[in-house]
Amino acid sequence: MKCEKYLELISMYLDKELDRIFLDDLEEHLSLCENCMAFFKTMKKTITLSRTYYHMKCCKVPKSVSTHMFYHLRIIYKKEKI
Amino acid sequence: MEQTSTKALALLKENELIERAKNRDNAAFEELVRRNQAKIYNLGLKLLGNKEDAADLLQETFINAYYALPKFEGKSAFSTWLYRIATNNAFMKMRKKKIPLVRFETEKNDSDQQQVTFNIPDWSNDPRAHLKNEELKMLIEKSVDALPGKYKTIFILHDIEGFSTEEISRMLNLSISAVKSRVHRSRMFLRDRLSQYFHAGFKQGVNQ
Ligand SMILES: [Zn+2]
Repeated sequence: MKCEKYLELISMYLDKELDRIFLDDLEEHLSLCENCMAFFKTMKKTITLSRTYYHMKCCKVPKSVSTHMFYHLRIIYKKEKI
Repeated sequence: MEQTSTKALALLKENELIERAKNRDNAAFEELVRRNQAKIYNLGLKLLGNKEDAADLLQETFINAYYALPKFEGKSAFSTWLYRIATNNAFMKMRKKKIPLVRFETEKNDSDQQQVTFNIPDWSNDPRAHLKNEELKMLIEKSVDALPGKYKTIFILHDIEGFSTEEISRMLNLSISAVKSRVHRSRMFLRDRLSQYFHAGFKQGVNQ
């Protein structure tokens, strides 16, 4: 199999969703092919960096935003009652 | 239905709150909103990139949820159901803003396939590959934003929020294989962007 064929398998491997029938083949290929190994490592790093970055950025809902939403919801409750 | 006191609400389990809210116990509904609002607001920030749109998305999502709740059957988790409403609202906003939903704007479609035939540098241990690097943080954000709307959404749901491909396929009415391939293509795109940063010039060299 050419290296290209391994790319999507590497993605599934990272998700632990790779079928057993491909697993041994991929692991063997990774141990022999520097390119695919580099691809695997950088793909994995891309995902962890992105995940960590967005988790760091997570914030609370600003009070004013939340208050505004509840205000609108309460208008709707009244409408529904009528 | 009788309204439950706020104190008692905080102790209730989600499914009890849902049952009450379905019967228009508005205090119970608001407890559900309080428990889930940060998730939806942060999803809006990631998908739409600014606070105003995230605030709009938050409000629209819970208004829609209020109307739709009597039809909620509990086949999926409540939060998954909310994400489904939120992502549909986000797609509508993206369409209005003419953000492409499925087409890659700048990259050529074949760019993914070219790389591996060439030498792939391993930058995973590069000292700059760290989130103390402000440049890299900006690059991640810009690259994720450059993904077409649906790819971005799928990438965020899968790789950031941790939803499974099955959950996403139900959320977005897509086949599991479509979800998987979009996760993969988004990662390829992002990895490629980061690689260009770590090895500026490497691409030009390769293409000669
Ligand atoms: Zn290979």
